[in-house]
Amino acid sequence: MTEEEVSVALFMAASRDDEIEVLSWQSIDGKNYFAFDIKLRLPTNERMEPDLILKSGSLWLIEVKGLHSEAIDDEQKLVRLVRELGETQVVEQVYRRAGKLERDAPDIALAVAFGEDDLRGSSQRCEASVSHINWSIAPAEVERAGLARYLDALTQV
Amino acid sequence: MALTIYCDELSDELLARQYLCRDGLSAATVERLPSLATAPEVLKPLLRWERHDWVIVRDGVIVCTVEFSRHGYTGDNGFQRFARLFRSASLGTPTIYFTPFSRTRLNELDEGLQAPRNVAPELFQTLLRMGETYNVACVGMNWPTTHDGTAAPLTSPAALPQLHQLCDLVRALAVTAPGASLDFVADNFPDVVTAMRTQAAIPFTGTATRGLLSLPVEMTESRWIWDWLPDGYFGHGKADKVLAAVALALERERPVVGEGDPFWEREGQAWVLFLGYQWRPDPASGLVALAAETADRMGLPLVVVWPRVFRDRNGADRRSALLALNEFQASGTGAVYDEAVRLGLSGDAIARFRDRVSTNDNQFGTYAANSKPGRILADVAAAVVLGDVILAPPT
Repeated sequence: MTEEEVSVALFMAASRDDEIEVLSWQSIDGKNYFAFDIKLRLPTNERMEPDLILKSGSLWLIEVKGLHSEAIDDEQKLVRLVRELGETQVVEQVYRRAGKLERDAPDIALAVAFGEDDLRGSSQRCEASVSHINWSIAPAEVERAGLARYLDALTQV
Repeated sequence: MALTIYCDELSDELLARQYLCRDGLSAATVERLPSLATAPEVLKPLLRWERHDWVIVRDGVIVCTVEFSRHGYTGDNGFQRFARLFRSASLGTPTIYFTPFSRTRLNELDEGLQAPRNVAPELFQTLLRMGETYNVACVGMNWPTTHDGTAAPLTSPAALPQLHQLCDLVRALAVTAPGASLDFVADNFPDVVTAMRTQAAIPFTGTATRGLLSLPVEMTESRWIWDWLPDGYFGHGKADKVLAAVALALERERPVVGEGDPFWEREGQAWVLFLGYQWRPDPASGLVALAAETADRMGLPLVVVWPRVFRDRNGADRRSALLALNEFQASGTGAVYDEAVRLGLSGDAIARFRDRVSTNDNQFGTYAANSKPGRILADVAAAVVLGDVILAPPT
């Protein structure tokens, strides 16, 4: 599966699940009809734009690639985003740009999604705090339980 | 009845499948809009100009086009998407433009909000007028904005009712004869028409570079353009106008290229559009289409004056303009400086302009016949006055 196909499938699964709020989706063709396209800014002024930001129990920041090996850099990028910006700032920036008025403090959860796991699980360069959404096998479980439950289970691993 | 929804890109297709394919369009075929080269005949006249986000075809006839613009274009760019709306209407097809009617100029990374700005009221006036001229519905629908003044996600509570109304209208137009669409919208969607009329009634300026020209004129000379433009036009506003003045060159004579009718030699009138910009296809195409709409309605030939664009990339006129620009930027002298002084710009204004001016060679661009503006101009203009020649295509 291509990055585009995984991104669309994840977005559609999130949209169908009442337990999930899609806060941001960076659509492949740049036409952001369906959600905000939230850009986060680090203290160094650098911009980071997760492909998907979902709110279920946690606030999920998700990067999408076609291959797992292509997503390795994104794992490190996500970790750096939270480390340098801080969880509180991440939530504040996302909520402000999505126009959310809630003042809750959800946990931040990080994930990369990919269409093919060419690394067969993980590599030494994978970040322990970043979950893997292997979309070559995930759809059946997502279809059965819903994306929110699927994501929740990832945090229990 | 065979119905097909052609969608420009993936997001357009997702939107159509999720929200449009219901009721009368539930059995419609959804396809991606093909390229012009591979398009079926029914789509070619439309695609020759631009691509809409949705194109609805019923039994081999285009019955509705829809354009989404999350960005509410304002100021000089207000007509960025207009060429495709005009093309649709002039081909006898109802068209819908879904865009914020006003928006906040905001970089979403900025903290501060700035004042809301209206999308060009003239756009809505023109849509209403086009509806009457071509007897098809030409509709602007408001894409609601959110807390920061930018377009709300279509599936958010703020925008969803409007999206549903849009889809209701498209489904209705899909089974309505185009010739009956204007009355249909007026009778069944009066709130949409009222919102357009309200927007169209907002006062606006910026029409100084479009207007009537009494004929005959010595078209090949520059003098008539200087006389036709408002007094002091080049000396007021943005200093970049100096570049257009240099390209226009008061004393220049331009050869006529093409076998078109030399209508300018006879008594009569023409409608003129002056473009002082460099080669910028999207906004220029919209403004050309706007002028074409007026010329068509008045039954007049359209003359487009675009002096910062040259036909001959390596010609002497373009090279001398680029040399003058480079000299001005490097040493503050030469033809650009002399023209700025002649136009009455202050020393400070000239110095500030010199500090920021780019010497990129697209400042004096090259005309491309097989580009979007090239194709549009070939379809609508009776004469195109470029920096070095006058194009007079056969009509």
